[in-house]
Amino acid sequence: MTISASEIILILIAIFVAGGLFCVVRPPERLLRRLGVPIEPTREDRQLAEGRARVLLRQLLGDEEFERIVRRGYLEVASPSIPGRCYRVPYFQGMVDVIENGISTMRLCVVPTRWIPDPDVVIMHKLLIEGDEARYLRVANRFPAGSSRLIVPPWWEVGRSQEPDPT
Amino acid sequence: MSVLRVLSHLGDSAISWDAERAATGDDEALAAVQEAERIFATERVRGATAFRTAPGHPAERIEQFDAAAREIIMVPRVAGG
Repeated sequence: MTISASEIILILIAIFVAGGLFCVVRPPERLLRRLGVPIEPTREDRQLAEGRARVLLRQLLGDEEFERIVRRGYLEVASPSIPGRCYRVPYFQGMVDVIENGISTMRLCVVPTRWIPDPDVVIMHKLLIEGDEARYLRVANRFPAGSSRLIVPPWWEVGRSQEPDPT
Repeated sequence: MSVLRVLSHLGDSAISWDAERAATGDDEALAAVQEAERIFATERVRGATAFRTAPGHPAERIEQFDAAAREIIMVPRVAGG
């Protein structure tokens, strides 16, 4: 059985078309990165990234502060320029509470334009507030806050501290 | 050792270099510094902000790569949410 030149050309065209279709349906990650297309990380990628980010946050804050943020659910960052003001950065996603002399005065929403793990988002807020508060406030979308005093009830810390240490 | 960390969807990627050896002209250390400087420049073009951090001190925003810094952390571009 012999294959004619036209058949060879047809086979090559079919292979080329199949390759093109494969790239459209399931494009290789490297190609997407080269084209600058944002790639959604898989669940496993996210879990690994979360683990690494937790290690970095712990390293940056120190063991004591890290345990505190896990217990409380937020990190307090003092304003470098406004006396009596601090920012409560949630450990998990959410808005940042601005506290002035114990009273919540507003809520700020600042997000990274690319997905990064939650502990890295905490680092992001901390660095931006400490290192460039003016720009942070310029970028943030502001939302009103209730004027109620934010006092952590005594049962919160006690209840949480009785839980077994996750580490 | 000094380290440059870039926060990303991977958690963070880091490159480290020996600033003291680089100052003495050590080729390997200089290559690491150059690579860190290249990453720094690439991330800045993408809109990342760089901060010099040190234990017990507030973070400090930097515009230029600092080979003598103990740690530099780059955070991705942010927007109001």
